[in-house]
Formats: sequence, C-alpha cells, structure tokens
Amino acid sequence: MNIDRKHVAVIGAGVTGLTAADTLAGWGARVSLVEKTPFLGGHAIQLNCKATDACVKCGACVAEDKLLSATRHPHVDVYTGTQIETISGQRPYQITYRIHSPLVNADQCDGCGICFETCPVSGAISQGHAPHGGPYVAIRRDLCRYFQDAACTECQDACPQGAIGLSSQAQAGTMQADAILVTTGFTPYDPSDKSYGYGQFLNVITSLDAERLLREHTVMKRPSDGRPAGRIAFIQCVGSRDARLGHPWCSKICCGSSLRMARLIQSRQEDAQITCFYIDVQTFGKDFQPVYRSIRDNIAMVRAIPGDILRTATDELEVIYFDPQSHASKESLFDIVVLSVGLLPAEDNGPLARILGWAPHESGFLPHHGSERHPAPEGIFTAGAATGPMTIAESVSSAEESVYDMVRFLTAS
Amino acid sequence: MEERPDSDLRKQASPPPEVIVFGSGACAQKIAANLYDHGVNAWLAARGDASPAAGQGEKRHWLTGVELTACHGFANNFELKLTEKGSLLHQHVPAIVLAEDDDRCPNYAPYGLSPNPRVLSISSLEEKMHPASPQDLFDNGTQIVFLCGWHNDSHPAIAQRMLTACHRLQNRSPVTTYFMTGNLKVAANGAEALVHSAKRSGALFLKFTDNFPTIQTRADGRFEINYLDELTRTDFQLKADWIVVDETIGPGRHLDALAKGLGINQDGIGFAQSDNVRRLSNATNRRGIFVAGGSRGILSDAEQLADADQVTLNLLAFLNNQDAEPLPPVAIDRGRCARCLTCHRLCPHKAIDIGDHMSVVAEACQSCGICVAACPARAIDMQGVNIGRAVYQRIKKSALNDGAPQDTSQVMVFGCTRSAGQARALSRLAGHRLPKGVLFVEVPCGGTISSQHLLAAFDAGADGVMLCTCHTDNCQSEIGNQLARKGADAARILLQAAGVESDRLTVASVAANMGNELTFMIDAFVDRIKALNGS
Repeated sequence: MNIDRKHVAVIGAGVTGLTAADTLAGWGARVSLVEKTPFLGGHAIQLNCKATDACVKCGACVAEDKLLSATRHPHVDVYTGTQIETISGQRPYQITYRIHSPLVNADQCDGCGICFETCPVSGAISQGHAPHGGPYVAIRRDLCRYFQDAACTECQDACPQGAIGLSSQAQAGTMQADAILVTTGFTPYDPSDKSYGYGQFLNVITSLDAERLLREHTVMKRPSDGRPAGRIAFIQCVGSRDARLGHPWCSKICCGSSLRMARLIQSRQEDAQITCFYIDVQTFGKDFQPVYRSIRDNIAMVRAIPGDILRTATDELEVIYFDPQSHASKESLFDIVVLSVGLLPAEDNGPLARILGWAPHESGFLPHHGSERHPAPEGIFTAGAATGPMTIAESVSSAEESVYDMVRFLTAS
Repeated sequence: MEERPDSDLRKQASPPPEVIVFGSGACAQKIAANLYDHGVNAWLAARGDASPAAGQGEKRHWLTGVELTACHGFANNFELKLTEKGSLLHQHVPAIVLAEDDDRCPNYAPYGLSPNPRVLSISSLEEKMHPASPQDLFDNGTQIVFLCGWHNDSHPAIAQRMLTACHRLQNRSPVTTYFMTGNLKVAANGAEALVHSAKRSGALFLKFTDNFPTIQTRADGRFEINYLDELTRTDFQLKADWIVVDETIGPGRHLDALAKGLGINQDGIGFAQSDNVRRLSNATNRRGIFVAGGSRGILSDAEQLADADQVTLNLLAFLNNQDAEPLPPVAIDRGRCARCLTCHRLCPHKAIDIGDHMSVVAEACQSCGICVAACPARAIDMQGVNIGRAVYQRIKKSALNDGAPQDTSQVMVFGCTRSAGQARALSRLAGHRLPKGVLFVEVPCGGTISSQHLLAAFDAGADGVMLCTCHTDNCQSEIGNQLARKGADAARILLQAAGVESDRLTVASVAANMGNELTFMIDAFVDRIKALNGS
C-alpha cells in the first residue's frame, strides 16, 4: 500500500483527528489538519488526569501524546481557527476555507493571564496547546462578546503587552484533497433549559466546567465565592437517554468520568461528601467491579434523577428528588452541583453533510462511511465521536480503523 | 500458486513476509484475509481442530492442533517452536498476532441457578434463533425472563446481545419477555433505542439496586421468581417458562499459556494486553507482537472485526518499518558485563539477547533505560544519556550562575519524557515558572533513575530530590515506575545512615496532562525543603 504524495484533509483536531493525522502522515500522505477553534485536542485535552494512587485509565493523557506526535510530524500541516466553507463535488476535492487570524499575538503574549481574569464570559478566553509554538492563550469567537456586539473590549484594554487585537481580518484559502476524514467530534449538551438553574446559579456547573475548575485550582471551589466545596452532587444523564429532547442514546462516558472525578476529589479533599444521582451506572475500564465497588462505598449513590434545583440565600443548592429508599420526596443541600451533560452531534455535522451532499442520521450523528444504508460519498470517511458517543480509547481505535480504509482507498485510486 | 493482487509493499524482490496469527475465529480470520490482500502470508494457528469453512481454505494457511512450545528471537526475527498435532514445526516470522477468541461462560450461580434444560445462555439462545424464525421457537404465551447483571454488573457487549434477542423475541413471536437487571447497560450504539423499542413491543424491564430476586425451580422444571419491585415497593412473583442468563466473557483457555510463552504482559483478568492506555489499541510490551479481538479484552463482535482492520494497519506499518521511532541506541560493554542476567530479567520489552555475549537487540529495544540503571557492573550505556553527568553539571552550573551565597535551596527534580517532562512543558505554556533553585532533569523513563543517581544528586549539593514517575499502570515500560520507587527506597536507607532526613527525597507520580498539579507539587516540596533547611 502506497499513499506517498496523496493529500488528505482531516476535519477536526480532537483526539480522533490527531490520531488519524499522525497515522496517515506515517503512511506517507500529506495531511492538512483543519480545526475551527484556536486549540487542538478537542474535548479530551480538557480532561484532568483522574489518577489517585494509580492510573484509572480514562485516556486523557493519550490526547496529549497524540497531539505531540501529530504536530511534530513533518507531513502534517495544522490549520487552527479555520472554518471549512465549501467542498467541491468531485475528486480531487477542492476545499475552500477561512482562517481567522489569531486574536492574541503569540510573539507579544507572555502568558500573564490578566485577560483571562478580566474576561466576563467564562470559557471565552482559554489557555491550552497551540500548534508549533503559536499563542497558548486564545479567544473563542463563538463565546466572545466582542463578536456579538463589539461592546466588550476588556481583554484588549487590560493586556499590558498590547498583544490582543480583536478586530482582525479573516483570510480565505483553498486546498486540495484526495480524501477527506471527518472527525468533528461532539457538542456538549447545554443544560440551560433544564430546571437546574444552569446559567443563573453560579454553583451549578457542567462536567466540562468542573474539569476546568479542577485543572485551575486542583480542588473543587465554589464558583460563587471561591470557598472549598464540601458537599458535591453529580447528576447523571443530563441531556442523554431523553426521548423528549430527541436524544434517545446513552452518552457512554459520563458515568465513568463522574465516578472517577468523585474519587479524585475525595482523595484531594478529605471532607468532601459526594452524592451521585443516576439511572443506571455504565461500565468503564477493564476490571470494573472492584473499582466500582470501592467508589460506591465512599459516595452516596441515589438512583433517582432530581426534578428541580433551588438556590438558597447563601448560594447553596437545594436539590429536590424522589428518594427511592424512603419512597418520598426529599431535599438535600449542596455546595456544588455538577451536571453530567451528554454528548450531542457536533454542530458542524449538519452543515458539513450538506456541503458533501450526504445526509446525517436522524440523531444528527454522521453515519460510518462504510454504512450500508447511508454510504458516504467516495473519498469521504468518518471516525470518532462524530459518528456517536465514544470513549477516548474507542476514538483512537476508530481513527485507526478509518485510516486503514483510507490507505486502501488512496492506494487503489 | 494462486495469483496475488498487485501489492505495493516496498520489498517486492524478497519473498512475501510470513506472519503467524494465533486464533481461528472471526477476528483472526479477518486479519489473515486482510494480510493476504496486502501480499503477506498469514498462517492461522489454531489450538483446536477448527477447519477452514468452505471457500476460505485457499486464501490462508491453516495450522490446527497447534501448541506453542517456545518463542525465541525478537521483532522481525521470531523463531517459534510449535507442535502441530504432535509433530514439531519451526516457524521463522517477523511478526506475530495474538487473536484467540474469548471464552464465554454462562452465569448460573450468580442467579442461584444450576445448568438446566430450561435455562439458556445467551449464546445458546442466539444459536437457536439463528436458523429458525423466532415465532417457531416458543409456544404462544411463553414467559421468557432475561437475567442480566445483578450483584455483579454486566457489560455492554453482553447486554447488547441480550437486548437484541429480547427485542426480537418480543417483537416477532407470541411470547412475553421480561428483562431483570441491576444496572441496565446501554453504553453501546443503539442500545437505548433498542430498549425503547422492546418496551413499546411489550417487554417488561425490571431494575434492582440493593435487593435482588430469588428463583425457585418447580417440579415441572419451570421457575418462580420472587422479587420486591422497587417502584411500587410491593412483592411480586413471576412465573417463567424459560430463563436466559448472561455470560461472563474472559480470556480463552489457552491464552495464558500463549501469552507467557510469547513473553506478553497480561492484565489482571488474564487478557494478553496490560491494562495500560499506552498499549492502545493493539500493542503489547513487545515490538512485533500484536494482540487483537477477544485476546485483548471484552469486545463486541463488531469491535473485534474493527480490531482486525486496526491490527492489519499497524502490522503492515511495522513490516514496512514505518513505525520505527528514532530512539537512542543502547549497548552493553562486553568488558564490564558479568553475565548476571539482571538486564535480561528486568527488560520489559524482552529485548536482551543471551548469546555468546549479552547484547541489546535494537529491533526490540525501546530505550527505556531500565537496564542501564539496574546493571550492577554499570556496563550498559544509552547513547546521549548520562544522568550522573547531567546531575553534576546542572548543580555546578546553578551554583556558578547564582554568584550570591547559597541561600536558595537547590532541589533536583527528575521526570520522564512521557509524563513530568510534558507536564512541565504544559505548565510553562500556562505561564508557570519553576521556583528558583529547582533543576529539572528529564530522563527517558523513571526506571532510568537508580539509587546511585539519587545519591549523586545529594552528593553534588542538592538539598532535596523529587523523583517523578508515571502513575502505576501508566508506565510505557510497565515497571519503570516501580523500579524507580525501589531505587528511592534504597537511597533513603543510605541517606538516613548518612544523617540526611528521608523527607528530602520524595517520589511522586504524574501524568502528561497534569501541568498545574506538577507545579503545585514542586512548590510544596520546595517549601518543605526550605523548612528543613531552617529558612
């Protein structure tokens, strides 16, 4: 099999895209790795290591490895802040894109973090990996207020290095590809519509918010006042297994993530009291039973999903639920409530599928390129969570499997 | 000879490479078929007498009644001694794939049952349902109860099969099905939708948390299931005509012998791949030996077939030499070597050859440095890596640069490239600087650090030494972190004898994505050292 001088575009640089890009480059192809946000690594790279005494095999560190390999490979060209606009209908595919130039000048930025502290929108400015030593502080256009009404320029004004330029132009470009791999990943469910107070009560956060919190402070602190959080509740299946919402699927990773996070928090905060509200605990890891048992013995597992959350005068959260033990309605107070939000299809799946003249599943996830009922157009491949919720380990496997199909296809074409 | 499709393998002049695939099931067969398509001769080595199904024999070579006697050699050059139905067979292969099927054992005891004509394992039910149409299998009005994961949780791969069968029977035959489970495993594609569909067709799902049903077998062979319904908190009794039990999936019976014979690490359950994310997806601790399907863990049938494709990709990359990372070569000095065999014993990748002279086999070596640290005669050298020298140079340089008298504590932090090194880079990106006086020494693996190195650091002038390894079960070299800890324990004893507080030496485990945490840990350690110094 020989794919030297073949050009491949990988759309989406999460753990699946990074794995695929590295593998394809290893086989000799020239890879354009296209990512719409300023950062590589997708969601996996935002996860914390959940090890206490030993590795708990969440796979988060694998994302770091794949990122390093892919970005170091000479055959991989990385495009961040790049949105795909059109893809021509025939092979070799002509892809037009728009690169949003970085809003933070890498040469001037010294990582002081003042912008990060000044920004009124949580998550709009983030620190993370950037390709080839580019800016590691970046502003997300989809969250930043400036891009909604040009009103807020706090970060730009506050930056002591003058490294921020909010009004920068986008550049257009084209590339050619003999094959395209779509690895657009997932979009986390936004629980603002649920009666949990997300978006109004500062101490109600999503699982991804919790990851960011832990990464920054290493312990759980209440967002409202920065005090250590003692009583923490995890609510599972928020946005998943919900036919009414149109999400009749299990998001697979949330039970494992939450239980591991609970265990990590307890190892760092001795007085933490954790409650987990669940429907069914999903399996994770090879040797599930003993690990699960040890976690279960130390946290309160309540087999009920709460109905409402109210906020007290002291910013505590009153969680109301039907207690299966006493068979009656109950209220419990917590310092923080973590909503384990589900994995929804990536927002880009619909537009991309339309560009490609291909229909996504009813669910919004993309079919596997080899699907019998919805085969992809020739030369188009899919992998990873873009096709359905997946763990990091499964994403890596999915990438390798799709690369195998691509290498054969490119060799034959 | 059959005509082969045009293969683009780079080494066209030499005869096609041969590979042995241990196994005979769907996964192993797919691997062999894939490899054949790419011009590689794959030999399927089956323990039993499984003959190839009609039409498949020509494509691959089958060895049946095979047992592994010994495996010598290294990547690209394995020498296998096998017996095939009693007669000796030698195979010289560049690579090996371990793809034996898993073992599926019906669960009777967990439900208080014994094997019984009216108790079917999911596999037997699947077999019954396969040729027959569902409506012919059971009489009108039959009550079939599926038991899936009570005290011990089931697994999505198994639950999916139970749900599929339950759904099919409920939908297409005049029976009533019940699904009694602890945690309903729906973390498989389409599982939740399947549950909904089965419920709509009339299947009844009963979930239990702390109290599980009890089953009585009646004289007529049918069953009475007594349970406390959690929703209504009422006692119920269900009469079942048939019971379908789930299975426990474990390593195949012969996998243990095969794994040990090939020198492959196993996980806690016995599958032939360590439970280590660095081995994903199909790697083992030995270069050139791959593991797939039911040999590496509990995988659904669809996942096993996908595994076959992944392994094919990685195996071909290996045969093409594409996967070769440029690693610093390791060499044994014959003059100093005392043939104690410590290196051979410790090498996690089985890369040390016992020949007329001990030597490190480059094809198999992954440059972890464990042998370098462990050799009592210090006869092993890794090119470009001299930790002792690095230690003395770093501390000397630090002392010279400071100029001012030593009021800054000197703390040496050792960390491996795969964890602490990356974490440190990550923390740098976030704007964290190491405190003054902290000297970071990056090494290939925690196991490269011996107690000598740790003592050398103190000898050179360090006030404190922190040794960072990967977490347990996360070491690329499997045991590097354990060996590092042992080295630290040994060093502490000597330090105490020399009057140095043992708190001055600490070991911590880190992962590549722990940027902030590493900084906090180092800061905290530096504070402790300052306190010990009395400042």
